[in-house]
Amino acid sequence: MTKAIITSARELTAEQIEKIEDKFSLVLNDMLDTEVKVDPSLIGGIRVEARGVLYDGSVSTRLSGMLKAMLAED
Amino acid sequence: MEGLFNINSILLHMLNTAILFAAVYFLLYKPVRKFMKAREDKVAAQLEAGREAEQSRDALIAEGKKSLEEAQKKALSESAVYAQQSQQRGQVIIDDAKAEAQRIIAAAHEEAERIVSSTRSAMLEEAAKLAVEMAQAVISDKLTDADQKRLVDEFLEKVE
Repeated sequence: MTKAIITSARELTAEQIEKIEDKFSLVLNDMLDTEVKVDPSLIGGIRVEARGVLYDGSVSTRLSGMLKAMLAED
Repeated sequence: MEGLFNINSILLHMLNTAILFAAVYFLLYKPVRKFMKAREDKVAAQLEAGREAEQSRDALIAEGKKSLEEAQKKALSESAVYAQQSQQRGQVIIDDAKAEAQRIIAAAHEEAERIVSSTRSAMLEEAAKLAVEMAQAVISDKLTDADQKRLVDEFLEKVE
């Protein structure tokens, strides 16, 4: 089993957690032992950390990326 | 009549006169003439000395004038040279000052542009950060559960 930490901006429903676990089981080709956390600083979306890899789908990271892109243009 | 024309008396008178003339001649006339001659010679010598002094004076005056003219010419030519040299030095100083002023102005322009560019960059960076902070606040406030669900679904579709 692979340990996975799911961090969400707000509480996830059981259905959402199951969907996430199914997807990452497929990606990682292993059963998952998930831990779910809530972090409002993500603003929206989720992050999944497994096997030392961070899969980041949070709104805060997208906004940071936008800021970097805007600053890089200058 | 013999009393009037005494030949001896006449001869005696003539002898007296001759002796008198001789005496006058030798005792008075010759010394006086000698004295006068000496005085004449002395005056002539003095006149000659005066003429010579005059000639020396004229020669000295002429030499002095010549020296003065030469000195004036030399002073004029040297002052002309000095004036030209001063003018050239002044022009060099002016040219150097102009070049230095241009360098200072160019450096000031560069510095001003650098400051403007730096300030503009800083302001843009601040504006971008502010925009992102505001977006974070708005999104955080407006995000619904449906939005969250959509975000999770989109994320899962992209994960490989």
